[in-house]
Amino acid sequence: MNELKLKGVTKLYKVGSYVSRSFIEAVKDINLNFNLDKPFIFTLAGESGSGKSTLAKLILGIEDVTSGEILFNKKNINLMKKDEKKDYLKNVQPVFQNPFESFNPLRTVMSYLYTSAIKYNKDLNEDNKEKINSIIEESLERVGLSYKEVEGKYPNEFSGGQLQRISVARALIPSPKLLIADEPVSMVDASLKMSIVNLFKNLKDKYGINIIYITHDLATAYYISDHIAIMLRGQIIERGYVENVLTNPLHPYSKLLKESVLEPVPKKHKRKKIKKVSFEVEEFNLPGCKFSERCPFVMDICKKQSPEEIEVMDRYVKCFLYKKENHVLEITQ
Amino acid sequence: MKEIIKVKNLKSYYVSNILDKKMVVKAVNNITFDIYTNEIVGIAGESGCGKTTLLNTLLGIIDPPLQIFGGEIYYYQNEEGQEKYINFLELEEEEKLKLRWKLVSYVPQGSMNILNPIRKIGKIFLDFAKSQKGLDKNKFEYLLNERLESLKLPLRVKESYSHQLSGGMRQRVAIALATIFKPKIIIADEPTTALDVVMQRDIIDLLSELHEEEKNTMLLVSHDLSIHANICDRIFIMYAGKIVEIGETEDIFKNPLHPYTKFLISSLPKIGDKKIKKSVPGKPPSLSNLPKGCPFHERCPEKMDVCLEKEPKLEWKSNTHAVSCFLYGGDDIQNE
Repeated sequence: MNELKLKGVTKLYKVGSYVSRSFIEAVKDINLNFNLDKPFIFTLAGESGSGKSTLAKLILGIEDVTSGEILFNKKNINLMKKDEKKDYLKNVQPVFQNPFESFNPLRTVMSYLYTSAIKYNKDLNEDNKEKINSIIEESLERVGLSYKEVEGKYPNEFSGGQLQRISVARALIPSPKLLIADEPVSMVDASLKMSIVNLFKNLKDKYGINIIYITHDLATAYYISDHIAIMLRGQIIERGYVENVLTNPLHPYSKLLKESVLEPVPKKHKRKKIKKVSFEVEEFNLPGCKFSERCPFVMDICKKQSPEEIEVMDRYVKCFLYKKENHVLEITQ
Repeated sequence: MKEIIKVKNLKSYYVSNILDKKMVVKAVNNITFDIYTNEIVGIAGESGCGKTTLLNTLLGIIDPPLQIFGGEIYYYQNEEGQEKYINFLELEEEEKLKLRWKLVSYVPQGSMNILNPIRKIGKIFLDFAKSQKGLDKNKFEYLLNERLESLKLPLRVKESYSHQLSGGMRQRVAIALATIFKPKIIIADEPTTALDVVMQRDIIDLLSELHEEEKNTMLLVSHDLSIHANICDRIFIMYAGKIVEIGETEDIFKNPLHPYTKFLISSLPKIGDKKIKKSVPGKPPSLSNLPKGCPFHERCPEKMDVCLEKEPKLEWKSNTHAVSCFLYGGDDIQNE
């Protein structure tokens, strides 16, 4: 069985100079289990600065955890030997946000696919052109492109959507178990967005590839994913099945996120106004619940203590409103 | 209702001459439209369809290789009871600058990145004030405080650096800079792109408040139709340098006519809806090498023989709804 386990993963960043040094908890105490044998699409959602991308970097081994463990098949990825780490990275591949930035404009797109093919297949070297080509062709096919369309072209000859497809194709070359897609559609045009989103869905359904989809776009998250976790200032504050969490969010922050979504329904004069936060660093340093400054249901305890994760209504929530003794509140409100 | 901007047969192309090879990119290709006072108009279309070029042309930001190849732009101005239409393209550069910020103001794309990272926000505003001739410092300070307040920015932002603000705050500061003289027309290019959901919502709320309070006219460009749904009165759909459909927001969403608009509307995802959504097939044509006939025919599922040969003209189907598509009859554009 292949599995990826996150145990109490925490990442601190230093801010300030020698005189006024402090720490920001970019990611705090994340516990997640992924069974990689059963295809899934898992969404990490949240505002900018919620720690989504940092968590992705930790899983990809780009950054080291400050405390906690990331276990791939019971092995800690930060303690892996070089060979093991390479094998791990073969299984976990990234797709980044801006396809125009992931490719060097002076290199042909094909050269990236070549390098990946040689790097991740030990028995291949540059003499095995045919084998390499067939690997590249197969992965391009999976994303709906052909070898001929890509051959000899430079990044500027493709549209954003096509380039994003090529970066997915590149990620597929080592036949990974898990793709980590960090905002893969936010730089892609609205008209092409759905084709990329559909591509991820297809990869899961047809080829059994697991995907961690990082986004702030809740509409596409609902469309493709099975599970969702909502992050706020480094913590997961609500997680569960996407149907439960997004159609009926419980945490006040999830509610705010859902209300903020601009629905594609003409309603110019019917929008409710929402409350917002100003300086974001301040929220990171709140002692209690990070949402307490913005929360309409804030209680005294929220400002002093960090809430524990509890199970309510088929999902996990970190909020004092849903604690047993406070449960009345939820019903009356 | 009065026209505040009148645009007739506007053409602006990028022309480059490299090694005697002439290339013409028809970014704004014969566009005609009117914008009325006190309305919010949204322009939607894919990247590379000419939205930003259209805005730059409207504002007179015409730097080579961009050239204007014809057409007229009129701005309505009401100065102390004197009403007149200004023929914008015939003005001298200096006169154009005078109109900018006071009559028409621009919030460019990615404008939250314009703030100098090593200057305090208040200083940036002062730099801006210096660029305006004959502006009193105290009066400007007063204007600034008033503007920050109405945009719900705390006054202490003046003492902070741009990196201390979140993306949404920076976008607010940029909007404050652009609208400090209360312009009649605000043109915003992708004001919410690169912001997250909460901030997007926030900026849209802010713009509509600004609109209600100051009774100005807005022209918003975005590729995301859900932005338009929430703020615009009318929507222009642009494709390959042309406007292919004009309609009121309700009409565009409930009764889209052009096959391209239909794709755009039906592909929008919604929470609570897991039905398969299809996006527009194929890719947009190159503006330097447009296909013969209707520019959309290569991607159109409803194309007919005539679409390969002739180009449809934008025609009004009702008082408020115009479309350029042979499916609804109508004439073609005579080739020049």
